[in-house]
Amino acid sequence: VKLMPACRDVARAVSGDELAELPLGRRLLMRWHLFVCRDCLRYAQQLQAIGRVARDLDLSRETDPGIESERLASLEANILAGLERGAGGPDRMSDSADE
Amino acid sequence: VTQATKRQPADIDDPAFLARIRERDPDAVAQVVRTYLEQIVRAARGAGFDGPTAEDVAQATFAAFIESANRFEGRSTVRTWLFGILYRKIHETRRADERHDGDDLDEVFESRFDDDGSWQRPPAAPDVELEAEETRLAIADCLGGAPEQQQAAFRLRDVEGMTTSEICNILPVSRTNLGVLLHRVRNRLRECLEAKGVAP
Repeated sequence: VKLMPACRDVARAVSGDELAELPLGRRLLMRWHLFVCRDCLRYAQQLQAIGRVARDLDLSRETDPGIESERLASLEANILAGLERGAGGPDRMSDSADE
Repeated sequence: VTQATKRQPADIDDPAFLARIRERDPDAVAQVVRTYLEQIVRAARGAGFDGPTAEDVAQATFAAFIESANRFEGRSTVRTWLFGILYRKIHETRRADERHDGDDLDEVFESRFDDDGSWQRPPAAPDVELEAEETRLAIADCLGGAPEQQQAAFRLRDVEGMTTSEICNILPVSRTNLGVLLHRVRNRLRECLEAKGVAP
């Protein structure tokens, strides 16, 4: 049985955000692998870099030159008009995950 | 229209304020709308809808929020709850034009490794000059080619910075499925950027 995880296993765990949820022993082996394997470390750094750029630059701006305050005010008025009319009735959404 | 102020999310999730939301107190609801409306419209636009459609989706999101307000138990934050409704509305709006989640990405990922699972085409060193406009447009373009669920997972995790448990509640998917979605979308982005010559 191979003790040290393969690069493919490490890459999968990293890209799926699963490292923190692995059993301690497996997690330590994965972290050790990341420490000694330059390619896996680069892979993890690339994914981090993509996420960071996406977050910093806020992807939504690509199609969103700025939502004008007038448009927002108008939309807000429409939404709240629904409240004044008396919203009600069933809706599937709930904050409870087990429903 | 109620002249509601914008509240801090922490204030909105205060139990006393949540009780007012459950009672559909107009001022409380208006404050929620004012605090989150722009975020919700931006997220709808970010999901690929044009301006008017994004506004329709946002309006439908808040209508559902108001309708179900009396059943909000405070197990998640209001923001998580709203994003949950939003992604359901996005899905409903797109249903007619649904893409298949299965793609050949797994094969591409596998081709990076040899039979022992070691890299045979290793990634390049990360580029520190990622802030260029070119990169931003490239990421948006590459992400636009991903299936809806993958885009949602990426945006909620990497752009909105939500926890995995919040995202599982919003989409809703199991933790295992979320891992698969993140794995696929991040590798899709990585491969796509590399193909465009914008190496991350």
